[in-house]
Amino acid sequence: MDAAGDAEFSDFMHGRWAQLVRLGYGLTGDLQTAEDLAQTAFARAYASWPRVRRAADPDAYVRKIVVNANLNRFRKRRVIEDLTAAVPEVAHSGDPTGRHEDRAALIAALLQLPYGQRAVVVLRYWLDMTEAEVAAVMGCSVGNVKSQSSRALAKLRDSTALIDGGAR
Amino acid sequence: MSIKDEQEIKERLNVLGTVEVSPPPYLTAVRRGKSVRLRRRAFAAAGVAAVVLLGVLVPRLVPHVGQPGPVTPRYDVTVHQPGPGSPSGQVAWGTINGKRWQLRVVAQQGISNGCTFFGQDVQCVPGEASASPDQVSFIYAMSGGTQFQLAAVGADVTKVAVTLGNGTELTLRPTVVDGKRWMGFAAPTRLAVSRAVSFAGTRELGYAIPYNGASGAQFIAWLRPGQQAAARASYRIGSGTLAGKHWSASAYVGPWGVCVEGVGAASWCAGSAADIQPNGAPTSYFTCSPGTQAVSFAAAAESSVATVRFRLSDGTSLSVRAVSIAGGDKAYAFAVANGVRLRSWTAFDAAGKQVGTGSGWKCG
Repeated sequence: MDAAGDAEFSDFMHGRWAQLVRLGYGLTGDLQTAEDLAQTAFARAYASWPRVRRAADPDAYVRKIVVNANLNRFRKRRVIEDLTAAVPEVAHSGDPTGRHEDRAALIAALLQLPYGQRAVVVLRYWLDMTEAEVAAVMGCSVGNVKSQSSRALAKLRDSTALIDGGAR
Repeated sequence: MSIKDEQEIKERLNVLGTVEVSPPPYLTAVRRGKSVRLRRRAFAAAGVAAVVLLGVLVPRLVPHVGQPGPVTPRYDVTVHQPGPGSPSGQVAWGTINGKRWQLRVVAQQGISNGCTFFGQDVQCVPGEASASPDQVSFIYAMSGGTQFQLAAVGADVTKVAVTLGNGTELTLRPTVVDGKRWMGFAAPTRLAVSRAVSFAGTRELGYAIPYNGASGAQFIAWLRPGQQAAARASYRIGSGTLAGKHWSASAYVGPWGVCVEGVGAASWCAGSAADIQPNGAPTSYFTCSPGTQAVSFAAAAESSVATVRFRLSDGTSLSVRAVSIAGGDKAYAFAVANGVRLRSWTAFDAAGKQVGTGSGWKCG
């Protein structure tokens, strides 16, 4: 890749790194894993940069890698996701904004959702993606996205993690 | 506090934006990217070497081979029902050019809806997919140039005959998994699916002609036996240049209903043009897609509307012409740069008379 391509990729990565890590964090609840996933996505994007930069939506390309790489992580390592309301991140008592508590409660609630529902919630409601875009990223139909989204919201409505952890 | 609506979950998710992130490991990503590229090139070089070797050896081994004709992909596609000893949850299996695939319905750890690809072993968790007694309800997934079609099947349906673009006819029969009836098949994404006909015994229940998009066939509308299918037509509903890039959007009307390409990465479909008609206003959008540089919209308008003018947040305005697509319905597509919001719209008829106005749209 030439210098111009490298510079373009550098801009792309610097502009999107934080958002992609946060997407990974919403999916996994673990910052280190999230950074690994984001790094994998950008490495693959670099390897195919001439094609990625011509794509209609390069962001969708890297998001798709993060979502699917996390699925592959489960598949390859046969990881049983540990669904627990007690997330590693402990709320700090000296946090006047309550941000840490909010985040811990949110992650606990998200981790109680099956992976597909969690991915739909984060893509649809945090990244504000349309149902069609979520479907494209997840490789499923718009109908699937709709049903997963509605079931996820129903579960979140009754989430004890949000009720207990987010109450202030 | 619990989540009561979509707005509330959006607000709660904003906390993700407060996660402190370390600086991007640019050099590590580039180094890993280069090694991925080298590995791909090595595989490609090995493939080319193998092809060259075959090219040299095969003519010598087979002396009567004539001049090669034009290359047309040939696909041999088969589908079979599970037999004794089949893996649990198997709905169907078959081959594409001799390569075996199987489609399974499973309960999978961590997934409640969607398909996971283990090579050609596709495991789908179809959620609450169901079909009324005479219905066949397809969902599809794509991987590596192959489309996998899985259908929930109603109690009356005993067979579905699927015809592929190369004339191959596949006979699908229901398989019961966990008390629900399923059927499925796989085909190359590049091979169109021409039609599917469902039967109860020998009685035809209905037929469907799918929309063959870039990611495979989409079965949307099913028609009654003998019901005349809508004629196929395509319409350019919008085009332009934004940030130096050309874009265009088209609507494809036909027996499947109506599908729109060019607004977002995936095609967007509805069962009929009536499903996208504006509700209670001269115009409304039916799909939109935020991209890296622009947000694109596809919208429908009443037949009296000729143009729609949008007032934008950057102080400019945008006029878009509504195109007749089918039966007097109109549609149009447009794109605005990221960060520019639609403040309001005003619809005009062909004489330039205002027929309606409303507040702007937000994608999402």
